[in-house]
Amino acid sequence: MPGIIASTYEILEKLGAGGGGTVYLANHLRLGKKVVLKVDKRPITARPELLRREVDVLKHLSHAHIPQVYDFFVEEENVYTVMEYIEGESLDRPLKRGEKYSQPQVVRWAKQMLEALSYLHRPVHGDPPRGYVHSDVKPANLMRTPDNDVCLIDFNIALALGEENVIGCSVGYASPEHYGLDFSSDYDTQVSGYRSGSRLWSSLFRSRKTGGQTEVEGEGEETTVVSDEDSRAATVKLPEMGAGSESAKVRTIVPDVRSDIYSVGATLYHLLSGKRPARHAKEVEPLSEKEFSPQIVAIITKAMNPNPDLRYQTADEMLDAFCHLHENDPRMRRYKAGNRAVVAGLSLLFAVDVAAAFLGLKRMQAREEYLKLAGYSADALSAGDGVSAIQYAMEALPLKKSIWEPSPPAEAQNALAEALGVYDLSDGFKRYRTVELPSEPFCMALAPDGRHGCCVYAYEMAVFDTETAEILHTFPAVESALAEARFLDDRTILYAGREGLQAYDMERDEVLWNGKPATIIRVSGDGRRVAAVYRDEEFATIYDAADGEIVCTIPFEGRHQRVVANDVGANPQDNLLELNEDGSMLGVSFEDGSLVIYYVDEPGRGRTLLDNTSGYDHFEGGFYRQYFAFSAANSGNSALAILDIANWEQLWGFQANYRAYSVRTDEDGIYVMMDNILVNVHPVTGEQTPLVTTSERLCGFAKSNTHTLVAGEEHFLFFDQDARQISSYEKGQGSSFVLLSEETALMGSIDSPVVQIMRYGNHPEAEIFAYDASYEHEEARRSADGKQVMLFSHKGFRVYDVGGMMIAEESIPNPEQVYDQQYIRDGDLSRLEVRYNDGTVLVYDAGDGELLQETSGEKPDRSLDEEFYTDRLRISAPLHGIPTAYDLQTGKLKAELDKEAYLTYATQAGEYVVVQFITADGYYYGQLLDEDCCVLAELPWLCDVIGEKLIFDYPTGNMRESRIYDIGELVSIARQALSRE
Amino acid sequence: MGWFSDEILFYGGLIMAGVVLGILVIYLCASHARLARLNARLDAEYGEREKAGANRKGRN
Repeated sequence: MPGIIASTYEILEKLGAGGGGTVYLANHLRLGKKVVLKVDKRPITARPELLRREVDVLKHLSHAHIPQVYDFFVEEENVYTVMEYIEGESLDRPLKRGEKYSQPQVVRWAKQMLEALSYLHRPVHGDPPRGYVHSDVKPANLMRTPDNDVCLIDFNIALALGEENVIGCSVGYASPEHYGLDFSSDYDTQVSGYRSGSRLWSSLFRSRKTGGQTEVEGEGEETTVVSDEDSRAATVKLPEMGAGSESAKVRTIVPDVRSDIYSVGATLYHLLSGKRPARHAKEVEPLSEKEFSPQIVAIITKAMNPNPDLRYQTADEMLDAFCHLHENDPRMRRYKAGNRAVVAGLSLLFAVDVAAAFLGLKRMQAREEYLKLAGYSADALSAGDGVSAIQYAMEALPLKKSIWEPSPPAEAQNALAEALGVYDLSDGFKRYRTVELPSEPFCMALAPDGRHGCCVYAYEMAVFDTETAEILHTFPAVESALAEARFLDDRTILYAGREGLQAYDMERDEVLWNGKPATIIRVSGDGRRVAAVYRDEEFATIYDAADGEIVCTIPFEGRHQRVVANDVGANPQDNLLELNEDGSMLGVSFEDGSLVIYYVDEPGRGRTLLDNTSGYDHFEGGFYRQYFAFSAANSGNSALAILDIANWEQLWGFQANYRAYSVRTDEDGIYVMMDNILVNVHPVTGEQTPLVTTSERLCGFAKSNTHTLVAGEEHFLFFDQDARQISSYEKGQGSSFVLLSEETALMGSIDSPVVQIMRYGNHPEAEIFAYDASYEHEEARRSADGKQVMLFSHKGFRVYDVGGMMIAEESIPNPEQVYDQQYIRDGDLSRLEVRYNDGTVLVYDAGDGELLQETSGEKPDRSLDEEFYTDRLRISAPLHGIPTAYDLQTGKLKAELDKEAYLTYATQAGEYVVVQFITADGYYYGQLLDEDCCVLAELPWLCDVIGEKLIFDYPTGNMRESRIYDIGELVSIARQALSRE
Repeated sequence: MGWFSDEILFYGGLIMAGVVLGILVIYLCASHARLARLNARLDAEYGEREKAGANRKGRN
């Protein structure tokens, strides 16, 4: 070899030689740089100009792990390739010394190799763009640099140049395709041959009968280069392949990137194991998964798959496998999978818990809302607004069942039952509606038929319908708190209008007549005359009620009625101004304490009942027939007197040293209210007939033909004409005004703009028995056969048939010794057992009152609590204590029942429990409970439970029956009620 | 479900969510330690992972 090549390169030393040529280390004379000079002895068939162009392209190959090609030229028929000199040692040398490389090291080099191949294979080089196949990857062609990187050398330039007859083929590293073996998926694993195009490859294993090319068995290190000028088929025997003596046709197979993949795999195999792989791909012994990582083994095994279709199809693929060793490691996968599962599971659990908490919160909020609405319903009912009470209660019951809506609370059902009054079958006045005025009233009036009411407030008079609670009209009133309004009849209202006294006809909606200014207005008993006084004027004007003609003017002789300094905001109602039945007499009280009765038809003539020395400043009273009753009071004492004004004779008089009396009269009598009683006083005999007796101090009263309404300190109370209390309602406000007609009651206060309307209702359809209400009894029972009713107490009993005929009446001996009474239904028979303190037991037939037997037994143990059992409850009722319900199965405390009364009975009624109580006052009632002992309904005056029927015994002498309404029925009833509004 | 159940649902859900969250945090800490150990082991087997493109020193 000459020392200087191409006048540029000085040969320094021979580096090696192989089938492709000889490699020298040279010095670039001009650059003073070491280069590698590879001399290739094979002829180049490419045209010079193509050659030049390709060389120019190759010179632009640039990769960290591929030596750069600097130049390519031909001299003296030798092809020279000038490449970058890579300092270092090829990897085969340590292998020959028996060294092995560590797995991490091999992995690192594998990545570098594959990156270089990926670069080479990329179809971006050349013109037209194409990729290059290395075709001779092996440890000997990997240079280990001082940095411990590898460089892939001995790139087959000729191949890159498109030479058809050259191929690198190192035994053990070459893919089966290099030997013409096609194990691809579409072919048998035999050599098969066909002629295709101009390329022809031939096997390396035996001498061929073609001429002149070297063939090497391939056990050595050198790369064999084989070419075949003969494009005809060659016969090859492949005993190793088991082809026997059969001849196989030569097949044209083009080594592609997958061949390089195979070579990389084989190289890695050798680097790891220290052993060169077998020549034949199918004879390669798999790497041990115990010695090497299974993933690495799998990669190499795949790369060395005889079937190129089953190898990695690109260097990038294989590189990706190496780059993701960590991620794809089964341990890492297991870790990640496990981690994902645990995190997912915990996250799911967390989400479920949060969802559960959210659901619970929403349900709690919904329940709170329901309870609030139930409270609103109860408040509305207390305030007298039944319609609003029903509406609120309905809002507290969810329309649809959903997971977000808890079951309606018992309070809601209770509120609805109360608002509907389904369990109040008593005859009496019930809360109906309310009217809200623009401001607090000074005065109220109720039409005789109860269909309309009117109120005077600052400073208007409003007329409203008591059926609809709708304000129909408003009229301007005189600006005084003394202004009044009165119903002349069912359709005519007299009121203190701003322009004067006015008579307004509601039906015709017109003012009938106007009078002079007025504040106080009174009407005669016959409705023909009207008396009116304006503030502190010193006269009264008498009008004809029909047309407003002034009948006369009554002068007060310089006196006037009591008027506060500022009458704009308050009316103390201290004045008496009353006409008698025919309007011929006018009673008037004055500020000076005098009280005079004037003769209307004889103006100026009057009779002084009290003079100005009386010292009284508050007067009440009126006319009853020929009598005049009045009360007069001051802060220290009071007086009551009844006079016969025909004879001007005082019939009765009372005095008290406090403000004791309140007197009113109407066409039916004289009424006196004192402390906690209301009596009707006979003017002649003085006999007092009690109308009302209560435990509360009375503040006001109103009377109709059939009932009396009183306002106590805390309750409104209704009494029948026998002075029996029939109903009681808590006052939600003060009660300055109580008014009553046969079927309508109005309650109002100077402290509230809300006027309550109550309507009379009765339930004859529910009646099962009526009796003399005057008979005192503690309990009432219907017999098992439904034919008799027994009313009994510890003193005695009565037995009636359901028609009302009394069958028997008995007294119970020694009633003060009675310990307990039990009414027992036994099949069709019923009996009353009376137990005495000494253990004696009397048994009476509840059908006819006959004493069936008398026995002696053990004395009852008073220390024992009474116990009741239902399907799921044990209810303990201590004599002095709170009745308590326990779960029958578990014994756990369920609830404490009403502690304000004594529990008398507990009965299972279908799915409900009905408990009965009695108060110290003798008032008995029941409660409908659900399975959690929550109160679903109050049952006033409940006396008995038969199956699922509720029996009520009212003080009016009526026994009535009702079924138990479930929530659906209550809702249906409510909807019907609201639809009528 | 009565009010009692709703309360259990709410407070129980909150408590359980807190407990699960705590378990999750503890698990993640332990898992992180396990991952570090596993990575160290894999690094010993496969070599340390390189950053993407660390081997590509070439100009292309």
